[in-house]
Amino acid sequence: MSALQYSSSKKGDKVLIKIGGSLDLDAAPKLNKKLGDDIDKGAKKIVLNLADVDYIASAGLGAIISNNTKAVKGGGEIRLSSMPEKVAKIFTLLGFINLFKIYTNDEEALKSF
Amino acid sequence: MGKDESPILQMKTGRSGRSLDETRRRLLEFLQRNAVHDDISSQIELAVYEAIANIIEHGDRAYRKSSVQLHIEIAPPEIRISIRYRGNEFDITAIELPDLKRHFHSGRDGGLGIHIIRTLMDRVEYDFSGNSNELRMVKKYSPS
Repeated sequence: MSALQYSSSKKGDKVLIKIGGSLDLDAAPKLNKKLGDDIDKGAKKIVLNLADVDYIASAGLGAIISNNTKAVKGGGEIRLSSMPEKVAKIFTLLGFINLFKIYTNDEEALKSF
Repeated sequence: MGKDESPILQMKTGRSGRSLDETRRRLLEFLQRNAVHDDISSQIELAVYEAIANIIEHGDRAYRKSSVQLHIEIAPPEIRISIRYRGNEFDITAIELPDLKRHFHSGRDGGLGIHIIRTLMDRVEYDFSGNSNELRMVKKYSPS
């Protein structure tokens, strides 16, 4: 219900992207484009900070999955950090918790590459 | 509401993202007002969202101005949800669920909504009659 927030910053050869708001039907195309644009501009090793995400639907999840595949094809990957408990519970129930690489905070996620 | 009556939410929603946001808001408010645990509320919120989003995205365009009717009843030991809408037959209970790992690695950005609904709900049923679809979902629920 809250609008998509998106900001990215370079951390050496990695990119930290902070997203927030509701990753729903309306936000997903915007998220898909922004992530895709960052990857097109050369982002490969990406940490996606989800701390301010209050809701994630399949459309938002799909945008992350498709851009992760795009990043992998370019020799990189999207890794997740700072996932809110509510989102983590849904990820666990749906079986996505073991598919993504998920870290407690940005530092750990950035170091993992 | 009498002492023995189950709390019920009935509403109509349009087939747009904005209407869906309003539906989500009212649904959550209803579940919270009736002290449904946050975990259960989140799962119902997401399943209902995905079901209506599916109608918006893939429903028959001829019915795009036709509303979707939502009925939710808190009737322990379960919460019953009914979503009725007009359009072509589309039985989500007959769709084969994706292999998640394969889906993840394929990079497909769609096709997860039905997986979400059928994973989060304890029972999902579907009926179609005369251009009218009804999706019924049940979530087990015991008030603490």
